[in-house]
Amino acid sequence: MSSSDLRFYWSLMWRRVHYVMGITLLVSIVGIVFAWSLPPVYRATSRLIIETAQMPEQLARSTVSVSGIEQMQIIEQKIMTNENLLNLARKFNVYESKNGHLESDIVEDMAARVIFAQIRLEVPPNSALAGFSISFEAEEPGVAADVAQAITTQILDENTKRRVDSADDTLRFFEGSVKNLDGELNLLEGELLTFKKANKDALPDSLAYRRNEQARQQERLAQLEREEASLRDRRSGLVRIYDGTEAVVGINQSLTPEGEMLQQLRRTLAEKQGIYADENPNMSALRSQIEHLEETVASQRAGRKNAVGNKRYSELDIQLAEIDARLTSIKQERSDIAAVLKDLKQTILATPENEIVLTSLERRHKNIQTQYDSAIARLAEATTGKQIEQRFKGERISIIEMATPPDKPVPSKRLKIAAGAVAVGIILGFGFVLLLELLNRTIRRPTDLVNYLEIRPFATIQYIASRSEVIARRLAVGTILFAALMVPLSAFVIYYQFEPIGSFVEGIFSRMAQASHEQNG
Amino acid sequence: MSKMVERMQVIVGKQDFVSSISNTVDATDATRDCPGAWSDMTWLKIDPKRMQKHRIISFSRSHSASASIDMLRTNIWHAFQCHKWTTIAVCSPAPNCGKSTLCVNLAFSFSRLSECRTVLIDLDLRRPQIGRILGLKELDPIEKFLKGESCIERSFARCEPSSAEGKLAVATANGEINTCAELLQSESAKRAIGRLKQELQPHVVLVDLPPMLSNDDALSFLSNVDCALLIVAAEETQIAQIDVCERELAGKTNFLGVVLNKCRYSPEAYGYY
Repeated sequence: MSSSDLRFYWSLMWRRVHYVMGITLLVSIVGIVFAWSLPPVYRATSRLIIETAQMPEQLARSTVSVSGIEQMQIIEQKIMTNENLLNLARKFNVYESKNGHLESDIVEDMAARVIFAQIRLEVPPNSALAGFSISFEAEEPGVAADVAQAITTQILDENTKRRVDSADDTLRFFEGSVKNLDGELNLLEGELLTFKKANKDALPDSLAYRRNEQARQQERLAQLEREEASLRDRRSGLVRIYDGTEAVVGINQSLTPEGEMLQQLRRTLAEKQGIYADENPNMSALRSQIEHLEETVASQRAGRKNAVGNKRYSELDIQLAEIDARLTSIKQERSDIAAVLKDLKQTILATPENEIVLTSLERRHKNIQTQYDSAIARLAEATTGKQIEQRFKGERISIIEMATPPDKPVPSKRLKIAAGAVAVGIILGFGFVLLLELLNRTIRRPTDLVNYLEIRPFATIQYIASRSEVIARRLAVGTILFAALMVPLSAFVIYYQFEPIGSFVEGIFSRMAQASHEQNG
Repeated sequence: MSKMVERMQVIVGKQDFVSSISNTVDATDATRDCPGAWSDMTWLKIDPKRMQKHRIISFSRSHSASASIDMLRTNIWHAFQCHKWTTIAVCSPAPNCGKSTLCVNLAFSFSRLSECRTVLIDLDLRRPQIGRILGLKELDPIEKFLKGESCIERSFARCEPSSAEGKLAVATANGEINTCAELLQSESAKRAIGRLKQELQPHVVLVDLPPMLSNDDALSFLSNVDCALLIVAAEETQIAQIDVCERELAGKTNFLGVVLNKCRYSPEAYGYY
């Protein structure tokens, strides 16, 4: 682009500057009027701080491990729910003057009014200390403060609730776990007891005793065998002696059992004859019993006289009978010991197996016991944690400053909107001119003829303004210049002439107020 | 016989006309060696204020653009000298290109050349402008002349500026006609032009033609001229229009060139000075 092109575009632009100015002025005025018609906005702000735990962590720890900032973000999400925002809007009549709003619009607007911001604190990067500010914007200072306070309270309540709930949950979890483990432990102990009861003779801890017993019994058995052998020797010796002498002293005619019983019954009958009548059935039964026994005894006597003849019971017989009785008892004892030994052998053989089962049972018991112990320890910690949370000694959110109704509206966005409108106006103006020129397919300068049609113009006549046009243009330029001069000048004059007057008047008022105070005082 | 009667009527009409505008007639007209018809024409006194109002700058030459108009005049003059042309049609693609204004400016510019007899004819019959610009009211309209119903003395008026050494005759239409194209290409029109050339012996005949793209008036008259000039208005005339008109003119007559009028972009950058 040569300098003549630049000059050309400059002149082109300059001649269309009225479009730019017109559009800029129009858009600016609309924007400024709009900006100044916006209602004032009051913003009430609460400030919160997230404090670190108040008890040293080494001594007692809270069981809520979510950091304050995370907690805050969770709560923020909860507060920004549609339902909550709608409730707030209704409760505080944020939209009292305008009815018939769509709920979605209200939610959107409310969300824009609530401002969560993190306060910058000069703390080390790992510190949990953090500050937050919660603001609400409304058209009236009171509403702004009320809603900001309500939100702040909600945050605190929610935080406390969440932390206590969390501690509660932890506690409940460990309680459950302890209970489970306890049940399991009881079950296992029962099993152990049953097993021990069932195998009480074959338990590993009595093994040594049983081995001793076994040895002792075996010794006793050997002793009995020796005794038996000696008895047998003695008996055979006695028999040999008897066979040699032949002279046998008579055998004692002993009474048979039936005979003894007969004598006893006869005694009983004699005794009872004085008491009972003869017709008594007991008496008759006794008598018939006696008769029967008499017959038996008689037959026995006859038999024995035939068998023994004249032989008599000698001393030898007595001794032999004694030895035989002893042998019989030894035999009995031996069989008893054999049974005991058999039992002992069985239990000793069963012991290793039982030992394995028992060991595994005991191991399980020990494991569960360990778990149980640690669960108990944690339960204790959880209890402490809950107490910490309940007494607000853990990490917590506290209010530094509660929202109060603001005195002044927020330095509004009016100026920004107005400046934006002016900028948009200028851009639109230039855009309009650019569009106009892009759409304009007319010839504008001699070069265009050469460029588009390859014709050199035969001549170029510059625009000849008529006298009235010249006057009109001069008037227009003059007016614009005058306006451009007068507007800043008048603003300047107003600022410097009236501002001092204003402050002067204020000064007088304040002095008068002071004087009246002094008078009253 | 009939010719005699016609001639008589013309004379009678002329006398009426002269008496009616006698206040504008310059009695001290120095009759130089020129065809007698020139001295018979009425004089039109030109109001400088009116000229200023209608953008006629060649009259007082106070405007800087008068230089470029003089330059255009000189170029045309040279072309005429070279080709022995006398008639030039001034055309434009659309109305409002400043054609009539430029014609009047050119005419005044030509009239400053000594020994140059210039005739300016407004043939934009539907919307004649030149009469309005110059304040010509009481002449016979040019249509009458073209039909052969009026004589030169009644249709033309002399109106060169007092500083001019050449001569300038102007004829204009009154805009009350329906059959323009037919009239413009009629035999009588051709005859009228011939008579004009014969009686006034002009060096330059400037013909202001209607816009080319609105109707066929301009095209129908092109056979009566030696060359044509296309006036286009900067920021009004579209490139395609110029292209069409240029082809049209080049095909029908000797095309002199395109004049870019109303150019607001000051010509200094093009080295005219």
